[in-house]
Amino acid sequence: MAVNLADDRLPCGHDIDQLWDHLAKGLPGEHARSCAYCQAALNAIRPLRTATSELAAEPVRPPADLSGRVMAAVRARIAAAPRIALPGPAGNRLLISERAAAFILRAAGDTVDGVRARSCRLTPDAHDMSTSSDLKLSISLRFDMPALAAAKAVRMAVRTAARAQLGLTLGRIDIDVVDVHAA
Amino acid sequence: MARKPIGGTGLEFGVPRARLGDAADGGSPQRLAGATLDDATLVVRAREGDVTAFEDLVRRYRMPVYRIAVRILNDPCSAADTAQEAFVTAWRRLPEVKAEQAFAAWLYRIAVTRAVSTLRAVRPYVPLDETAAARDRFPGPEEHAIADGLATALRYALNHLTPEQRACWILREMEGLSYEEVATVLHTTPGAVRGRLHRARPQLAEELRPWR
Repeated sequence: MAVNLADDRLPCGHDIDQLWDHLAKGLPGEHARSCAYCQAALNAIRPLRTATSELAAEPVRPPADLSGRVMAAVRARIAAAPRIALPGPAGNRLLISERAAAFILRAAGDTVDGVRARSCRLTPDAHDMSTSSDLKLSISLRFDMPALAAAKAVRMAVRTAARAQLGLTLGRIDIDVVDVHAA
Repeated sequence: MARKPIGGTGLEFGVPRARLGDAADGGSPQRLAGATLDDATLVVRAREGDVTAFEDLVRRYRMPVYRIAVRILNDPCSAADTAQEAFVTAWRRLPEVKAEQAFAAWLYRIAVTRAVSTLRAVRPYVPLDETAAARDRFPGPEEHAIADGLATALRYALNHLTPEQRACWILREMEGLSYEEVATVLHTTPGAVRGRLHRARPQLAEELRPWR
């Protein structure tokens, strides 16, 4: 029996798209097993289903240096980041890029169980940090973490890291819980 | 567009973690290994200039991005170029990603758009049986593939689809994305995706007729 696969429905009323999707999952339903139209359609599409599965299963390996090529191109495009002047002996300057400072402070936030640091901004964009600086940090919190306790631990962690690694005294630390993640 | 949960679900955009590539080789000891961070966290960090966060995203998605490119283009060399350009474009356009948006869909869209336009440039679409010359350039199963098998026959048959149909087929039938996800990547509706697949199916099935 010939069926036209371009039709939306077979003469028995069944939908070819559904038949196709069922074929991917395994056995079509009871009707299809006893219906001549459905059987004809299944026979017509089965090689295509097999071929698709075979082709999809063929291993594909990206070139080993793909990540390296991407990152080389990305690093070549990075604009110079604004610098922060860290406190130091008079007359000697120590500068750090905001990006590097943010990296260190995020890493400190990450050390708190159930916390993933996201956005990290030192505010205002003061370029002289000889006094103190404010921090805005957004985080994602594991679903079972109490926000207050986590925020307290994050504040302590970033304050300590700022002092120990950057010589910076943080003033106000605003924490914004923007997301929740599973364990 | 449907909003997706942005937490680390272990399943990003229909791609099981196990297929996302070897994430074990990344990450410095002082921070969480990138493999354990969700896309949204990595995207926010990368957007603020954290290159290592972006590198984690590249490691996570180089496999599916390259796979999609090579299946659309059928050429490892231009697929590698396309994947590289897609990632560099993604880096440049990170400020456009909305926090609640699925990064994978956004990235796949950049890659698919680029692959399809490359395909158009190097190989203008020629409908099946239009000319004998076309047939010589893209042999059907009767000339080549019977000896090589069903998968090879399909590879040739996919050449006869329009680039959009082909992208649909690859994303839905080979990458296992849902109709909704394919629609998001191709910037169209799930109904249009169904329609394209429905029209592609008889054509492909016909080319595989010798295997029935």
